[in-house]
Amino acid sequence: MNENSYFNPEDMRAQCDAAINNLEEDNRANGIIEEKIMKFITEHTLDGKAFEAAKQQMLDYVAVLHAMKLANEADIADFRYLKLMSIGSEIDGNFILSEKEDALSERKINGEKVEKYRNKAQKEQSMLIR
Amino acid sequence: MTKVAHYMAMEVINQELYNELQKEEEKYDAIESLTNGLFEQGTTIRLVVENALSSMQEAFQNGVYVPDMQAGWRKEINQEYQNYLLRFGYTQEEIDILKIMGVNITYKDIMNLKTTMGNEKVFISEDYKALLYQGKVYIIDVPKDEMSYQGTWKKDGQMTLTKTEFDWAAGILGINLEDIPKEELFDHNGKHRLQRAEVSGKDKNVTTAVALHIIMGIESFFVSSLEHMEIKVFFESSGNQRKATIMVGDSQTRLRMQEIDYGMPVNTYRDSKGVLGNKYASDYAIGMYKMITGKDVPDKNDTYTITGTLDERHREIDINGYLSYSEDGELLYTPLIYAGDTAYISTCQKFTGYNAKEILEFTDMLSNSVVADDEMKKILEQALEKYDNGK
Repeated sequence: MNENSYFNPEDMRAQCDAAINNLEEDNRANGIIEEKIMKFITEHTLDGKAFEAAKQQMLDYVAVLHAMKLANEADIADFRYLKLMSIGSEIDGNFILSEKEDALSERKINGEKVEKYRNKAQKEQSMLIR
Repeated sequence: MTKVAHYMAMEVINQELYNELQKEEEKYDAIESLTNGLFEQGTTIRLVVENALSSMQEAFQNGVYVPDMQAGWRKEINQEYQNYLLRFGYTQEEIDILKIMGVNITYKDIMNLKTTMGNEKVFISEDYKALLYQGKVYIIDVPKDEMSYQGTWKKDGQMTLTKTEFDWAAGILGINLEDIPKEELFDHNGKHRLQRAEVSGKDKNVTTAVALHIIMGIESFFVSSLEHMEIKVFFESSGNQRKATIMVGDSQTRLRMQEIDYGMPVNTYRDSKGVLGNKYASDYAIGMYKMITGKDVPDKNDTYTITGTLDERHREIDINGYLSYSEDGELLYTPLIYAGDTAYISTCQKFTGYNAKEILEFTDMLSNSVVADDEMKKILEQALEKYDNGK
């Protein structure tokens, strides 16, 4: 953590949701493209080298589409995980680090005061006994 | 004294505040460390995609796409599917074993693995080498030596498919079970025996695999009828390995196996009835000889029969064989054969069938696999995918 660290679970969850939605939408679109390509390949059974090459090209695009879908799947899973981690209250690095420093120095001052008054009290007591 | 107590109390409050803040800081650091590996795979795959697209753009020669089937991007994409298994709790060692066993995980497999989480559905991997069950990949195994699946393997799960599931799956697929082509085959009594599985000319070994069942006088070698069939799947693991054994049993066959006199050597000619039955038994043995050797029998005027012995262990077991898939994705049936099962083409006396003389042994062919028909394959696939243990 440093002064620039900032974590707002509520905002994070909302951002995760938005990202997941976008990626899912993206994968739906990829799915439709894939369907169309496969339909084209199966419906058009033309012979010949040129068509074979075109067909392979389309199959290669489908392979790439699958990889894109997998990338989205991986990110969706990661956003879900991040969302799961985003609980509790806001954490502001700047605030926490300076407050920590303040608490430490306050404690030091108070500690010194304890020492001071304890010594004073002891002195007064010993004077009283005498 | 009051001032000392006051400042001591203040000191405690300062310490408590500090502790609270420290906890917040630790929480932040924990979240950071738990999430800093996120989106790495997504980023890697996107780079692979970019690489693939640019190499595809370079694959044009004179305006024609000339694909490079050895292109690095193909391997890179495949690698990402394997890596994705880490998300299903796989270790690198387990992933390596799949690679060694030649199981190639695809995009469809990853999606199906996701679907199998938290239920009893089963999918067949796209390369037909494994079953996907509860987020894990189980390599389909056909035990080589009898019940070799026993031992140090731990059972992770089991499923049983019966008539209910097959009927249901056939209904979904719109397949009328009565329409499945049945090839006719004569048994040694001269009776028509119906074969559910495809006894095609595609595989020369098909009929030899049927032999055991002919010897046993069993109705059919694979699915005499889906009514009687039961498929049991064991999902097992041992260390970093996982395997699935698909066992086929058939109640009709089981009944027959319990009735057989195992002490008595088989002789199909001797055991057949009537002149017609005798003729079929001999013709069948002659046909089998030709199928195995590619040659005609030594003397066409001789009488032929199939002889052999049956291992008594068949009596005690409720399965007849195993299912698996060929490289081309055909459904294969492999009969369960014991060491005591033997088979020969023999000559014998024309009137009694006795005095059999073995002329050709084909015991090793009894365990040959047979290709099942395509409808059966589809029904099994459907039944597996929708299976949810009665839920």
